[in-house]
Amino acid sequence: MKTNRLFPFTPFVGTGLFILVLLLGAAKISAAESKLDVQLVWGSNGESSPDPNLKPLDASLAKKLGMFKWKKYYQVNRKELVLVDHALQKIRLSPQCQIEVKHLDGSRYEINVFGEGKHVQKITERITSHNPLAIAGDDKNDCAWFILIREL
Amino acid sequence: MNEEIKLKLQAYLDGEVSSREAAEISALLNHDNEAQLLAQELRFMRQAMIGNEPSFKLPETHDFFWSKIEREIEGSEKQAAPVAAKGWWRPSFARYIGGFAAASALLMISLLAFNGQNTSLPGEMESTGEEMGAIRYHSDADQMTVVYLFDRDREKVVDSK
Repeated sequence: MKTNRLFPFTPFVGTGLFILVLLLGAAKISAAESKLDVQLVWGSNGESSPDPNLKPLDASLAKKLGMFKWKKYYQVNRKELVLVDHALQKIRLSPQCQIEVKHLDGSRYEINVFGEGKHVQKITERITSHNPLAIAGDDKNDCAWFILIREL
Repeated sequence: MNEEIKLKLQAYLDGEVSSREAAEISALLNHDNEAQLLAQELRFMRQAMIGNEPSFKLPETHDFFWSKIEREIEGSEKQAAPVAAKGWWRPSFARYIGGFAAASALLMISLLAFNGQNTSLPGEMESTGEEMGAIRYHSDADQMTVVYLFDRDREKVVDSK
C-alpha cells in the first residue's frame, strides 16, 4: 500500500492529460475545416422570374431578406465551399461575380469580392449557420444581387 | 449514615458482600432505624422492579438470535472492507478531482474565450477604390449581417438630382 502511495495522483494526471489532448484535438479538428454554403441570389419586384431556369430562394433565407424592398428572390447559383484554415478559396458565381474566401478563426471569415474581375471589397465577418452574411448591391432595372454565405 | 454504608447496605441486600460485612450490616440494621428504613425502601424497590420488569420472548432460540447478530456484524465489516482496500487511491482521487475539474473548466473557458474573442468583434470592411462604398448592417431580428455595396459616383449623381 505504501508503494502505491508514492504516486497516488499519477493515474489522474494521465487521465487529465488524456482529456486535455482530446479537448485540444477536438478543438483543432473543429477549427481545421469548415464548410460554407454560398449562393448568388437575384432580388426582383417583377411578378415573374427573369429567367425561367432560376428557382425561388429557400423560404427561410428569403424570410431573412425580408428587410429589403424586393419581393422575390431567385437562386442564380449555389456552391459549397470546404475551407481549410487560412487557405484561400476562389469561386466564380457568375461571369461577372467572383469571391475569394478565407477562414480566419472560429466563425470569422475574410471575403474578397470581385466584380468583372476587379477587386471591389474586402470584408471580414462572422458567419454561422444561424447568422449568414449577405453581400448585396443594386443592379439595373431596380433589381439587386445578393451573395448569401452561411456555415454548413 | 454516610454514602459508603448506604452502598454496603445495597450490596448486602443484593447478596454481594462477604460474610464479615454481612454480619456488620446485619448488626447495623438491628439498632439503626435509618438503616432499616433504607433497607425497607430498597427491598420494596427491588421487588417492584423484579415484578414489573418487561420480558421479551425471542422469536427464535437464543443461540440463533445471537448468531444472527454476529452475522450482521461480520457482514457490515465486510461491506466496509472494500472501501478501506480502495483507500490507497480514494483520498488521492478526492484530493485531485477538484483540481482536475477546475483545470478542465479553465481549459474549456479559455478555449471558448479564444474561439470567441474575435467573433464578438464587429465586421471589418475595406474598399479597394474610391468609387465603391459599403454599408454594414446587422439585424438581430433576422439574424443576418448585410454588407451593402454601392457605387459612390452613382450616389453623387442621385444626390445632385
